[in-house]
Amino acid sequence: MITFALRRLLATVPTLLVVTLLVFGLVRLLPGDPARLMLGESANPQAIAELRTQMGLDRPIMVQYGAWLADVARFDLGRSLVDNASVSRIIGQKLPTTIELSVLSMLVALLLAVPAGTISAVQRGKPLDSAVTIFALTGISMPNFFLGILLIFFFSVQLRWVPASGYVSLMDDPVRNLSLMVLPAITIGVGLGAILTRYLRASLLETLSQDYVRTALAKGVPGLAVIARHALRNAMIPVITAFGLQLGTLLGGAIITEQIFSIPGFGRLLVDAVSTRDLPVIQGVVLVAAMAVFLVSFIVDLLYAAADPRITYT
Amino acid sequence: MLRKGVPMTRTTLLSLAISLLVSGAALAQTVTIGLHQDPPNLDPILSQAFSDRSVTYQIYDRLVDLDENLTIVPMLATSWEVSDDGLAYTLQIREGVTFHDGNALDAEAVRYTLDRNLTREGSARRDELSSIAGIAVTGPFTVEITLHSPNAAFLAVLSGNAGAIVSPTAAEAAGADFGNSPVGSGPFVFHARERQNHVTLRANADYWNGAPSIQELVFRPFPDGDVRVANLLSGGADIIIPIEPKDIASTQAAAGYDVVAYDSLGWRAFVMNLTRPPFDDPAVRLAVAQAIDRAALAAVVYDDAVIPLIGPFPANTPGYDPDLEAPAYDPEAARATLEAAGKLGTEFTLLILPHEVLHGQFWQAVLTEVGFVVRIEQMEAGPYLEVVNNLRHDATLVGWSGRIDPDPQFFPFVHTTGNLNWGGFNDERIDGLLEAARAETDPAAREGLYRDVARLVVEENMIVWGIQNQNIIGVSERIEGIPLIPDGTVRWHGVTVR
Repeated sequence: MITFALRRLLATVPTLLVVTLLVFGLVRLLPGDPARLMLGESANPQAIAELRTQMGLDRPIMVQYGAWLADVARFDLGRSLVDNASVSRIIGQKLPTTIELSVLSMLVALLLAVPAGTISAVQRGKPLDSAVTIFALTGISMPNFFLGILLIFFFSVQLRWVPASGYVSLMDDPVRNLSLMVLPAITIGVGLGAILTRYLRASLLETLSQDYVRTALAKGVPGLAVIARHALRNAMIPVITAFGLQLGTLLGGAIITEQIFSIPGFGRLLVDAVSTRDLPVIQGVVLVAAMAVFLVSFIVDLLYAAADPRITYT
Repeated sequence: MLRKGVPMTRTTLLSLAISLLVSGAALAQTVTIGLHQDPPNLDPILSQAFSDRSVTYQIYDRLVDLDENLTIVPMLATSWEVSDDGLAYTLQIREGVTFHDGNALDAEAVRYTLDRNLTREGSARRDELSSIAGIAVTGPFTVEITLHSPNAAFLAVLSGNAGAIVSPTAAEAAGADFGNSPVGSGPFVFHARERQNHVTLRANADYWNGAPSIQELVFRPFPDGDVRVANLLSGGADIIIPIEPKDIASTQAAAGYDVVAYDSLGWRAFVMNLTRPPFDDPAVRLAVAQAIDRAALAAVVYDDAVIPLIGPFPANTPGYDPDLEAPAYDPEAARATLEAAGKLGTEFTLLILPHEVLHGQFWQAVLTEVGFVVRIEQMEAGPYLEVVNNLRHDATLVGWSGRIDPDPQFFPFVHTTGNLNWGGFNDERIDGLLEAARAETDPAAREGLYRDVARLVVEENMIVWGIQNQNIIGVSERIEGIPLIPDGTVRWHGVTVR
């Protein structure tokens, strides 16, 4: 297993190199001159030219890429063009917030998907199955921004149960942090949970038709125990895969949800950086996001073994 | 009586406790301000955004300030003298003022700041102060500024970020990081900032004009208008700047909240590229001017939260001409104008920024009605600026925040060398009048020249103005005494919380 993990990690290096090239190239394709945008409407050409030189934008593109890559290798992602802060430091500050939001959203998703998917499979074709299917389809179709605004309207403006938006660090005030995170986590978690519900239902239906399930039932094992101990565990393997693949959805959801709920996380950082053409920040954020996707798919691969002892790594 | 005595003692204790709590709350008065974006940079030389000024005006005192009538009033400069030829400004600097880092603010600090504005690489203030030829400290609290040529707009410029005096010691120590640890002499002291989350300022107890009654200002960015208003109505913010026109009615209906709208200096206009067809043709431009119903524009697009406008100078600004006339709204006449010129069915693309969609659709509708074929093209700010700066557009909608002096209010748009000359203006008559106005020292004569330019541009329909913007804020009724200064930036020093 360790050999497998090491091989897998080594294989990501060339892929990551390609990612750096793409990140760097795509960011350069963004229309608009960052120097012009930074100096605003009243800038004169001389000031723009000076700023371009200061930012290194007047150097050949491959020289810029090489210099950036060398810095990245030293974990130096450069400095923000907007306020000169270290990009690594900014990302370091924002990442825990988005990780917390992602973990809470996954938790919401699992709390919804496991019971809903199980009920839906067990009650196949019955009214409860239809109800869960309606929930799942609504959850999948409803855009994050719409659900977010709805939640704010009901729970913050009308009922005043939780604050509308904002952020306090978990370390500073855990209660307020959770009260601020609950609506964003539901906003992302509902969509994710809806997708997982569908996966789990399909997977569980297949498992429930297997011989060993029938055998267990025939031997007199109670139905609930068969589902919990035998069927659900086997049905989880494709769900874990789907869960891993949803990280992109999660990050995408975080971008929109953080914007709605004014959460100073990774997604919000990216949106602000794009609007101000803060190239080093955009590059840093996209690179770290790509690495996160690699890392999660790696962890998912390792998790298979935990879920299914038949899988071994060579 | 005795029986009452016991409960009275309890009551007294209870009221004492409550009053202590209340006074504790009063001491810890915090006002949360919801802004439409995270202020990008708090260094006055790099600041560009309106949201920056909401914060920088509290941290830094400026040499002069504006009052609600747009009169220039003393701030750090207690008085000023202008030489007869308009080339020398002698400023008396307020004595006894200290920066938040404890250093004294004197003439040398003023000289340092102006010099920093002019010489620091990438300074966004350099253009505004480009008329400065020299800065001399002539006394511990006296500064003499000489200009290359007379500039009647000079003092007005010093009321903005160009006149914000920074602590030389702090600015030198922080270097390029000064925006992250700003030090001025203003009524509020920078306390903390978390990007995309908050900027927090604390009251400056030693402020020369008296300590502010608000103890803490927290600026929070809420980019989405719906979320901004939800925060106001749920207690997450005490004031939101701006509130969207569609949210005005619901906010006014909510108990404990109010919407305040007051004149701004800015406007929105239909700017045509005069260098190429179809708008190089005066008849086509006349048809555009005849097609626009400004009252309907104000009602449909802005819920009547703006004022119809026909020229570059709104009624509250110098240069305003009550006798200025634009073609009356007459769609029949507009169609006839196009028909007579053989231009019915003229096609063009209207370039807009993403936040101008409804505004663009309004123009599309009214112009289609009179016989134009209008395609709307939406672009983000970056590519938009590339296109309009290189005059690769047919027409665009321009929103301008406005300036108090007529020169910066108008020159950039219509002078051949103007940096916002997105109409491709190259007209000797206009250039001549604008240059004469710059050199004119008599205020009345100067204002007359700006009226002449405005009349020329409006008569030939070179730009078609639509509306004057309003500053619209949603505010909790707890907040009292907000000065309504048309530049839209709230000065929090004298504001109180109930």
